Amino acid sequence: VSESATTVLLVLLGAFAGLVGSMAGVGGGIIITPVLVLYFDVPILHAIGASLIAIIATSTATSAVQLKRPLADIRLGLVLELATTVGAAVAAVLVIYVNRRALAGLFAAVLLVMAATLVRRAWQSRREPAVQGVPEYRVRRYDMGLGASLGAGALSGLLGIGGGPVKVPVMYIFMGVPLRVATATSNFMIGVTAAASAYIYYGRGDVRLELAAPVVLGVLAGSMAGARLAARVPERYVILLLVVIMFYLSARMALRVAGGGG
Amino acid sequence: MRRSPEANLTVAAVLRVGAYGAFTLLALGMLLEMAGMAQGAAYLMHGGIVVLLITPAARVLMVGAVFLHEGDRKYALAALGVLIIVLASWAVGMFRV
Repeated sequence: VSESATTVLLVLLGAFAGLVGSMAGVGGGIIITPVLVLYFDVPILHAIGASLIAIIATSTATSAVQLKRPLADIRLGLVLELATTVGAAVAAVLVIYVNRRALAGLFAAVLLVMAATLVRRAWQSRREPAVQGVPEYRVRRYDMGLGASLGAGALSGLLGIGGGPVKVPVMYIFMGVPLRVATATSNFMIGVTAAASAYIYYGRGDVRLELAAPVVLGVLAGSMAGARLAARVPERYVILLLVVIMFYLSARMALRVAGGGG
Repeated sequence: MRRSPEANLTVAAVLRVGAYGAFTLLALGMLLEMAGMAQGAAYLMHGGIVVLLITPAARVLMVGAVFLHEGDRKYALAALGVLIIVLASWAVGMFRV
């Protein structure tokens, strides 16, 4: 495949990941890293570097739209960011000492868990009435939230994902935050968490311009469109599509690891 | 009520500038690349990536400033803490501290 055809494919990959990711409320990074590794033969650290910039792009573009309908609890987000950023930065430094095959294996496992979480969410939201307002709530168990955030940040730095599937349930189940507020707050945090690891990947030379520029251009266009379309398309169809892709990519990634690839 | 509408709107403005700014730079860079001007293209695309890298830190800075303005010292301090961690990670990345 010629160089310019590859560039076009990278833009399309980004646009698709941005569109679907912003509509389903997950960062596009979860698709971008495995597709780059599996189909573009990119070293996993370069794939994660591009994915981190893509996460900042999704978070920037969608939060700009979502913040007009204020759902994110910025105060709670800031406190938890104290932990996610530390986890993300430390993991980004340590990732070069992690075996590439182990990293790819961990990615396959996390992809599987995230897909299962999405299935559960779609199943539960099936008979949930559409609520407009946000109920009053009091945040509790900050210790639990900070601990989980540290882990979510570390996952972000290791794998180039947003860590939403860890933060959202912890805020919702343990901290008493309503689900919609938890999701919006998690999306608000993702960009800052990804930045903490992105600086380290960037400084190390793992953000390749020829890879990151086309992917991120696509992601920006896709997520801006997705954030506007989200209200009109039923979330469960988008989630269904995303889940099928995630299960498939997880299996391909696992096969690659089993076959000795990294 | 824990949400702060003013902080939300200020942050939204920062994010919009970041998203549209980065998009414009990256798109122009790709156009130049197709036109065969590789040097200028690389500058613009690099600029787009750097704008995206700066936006989250700018967002935290703005939130902190709004909280300080509202007299909410506790959360202004939290914003400062996040900013320090993010800047430390930037220093580690750039200078291999």
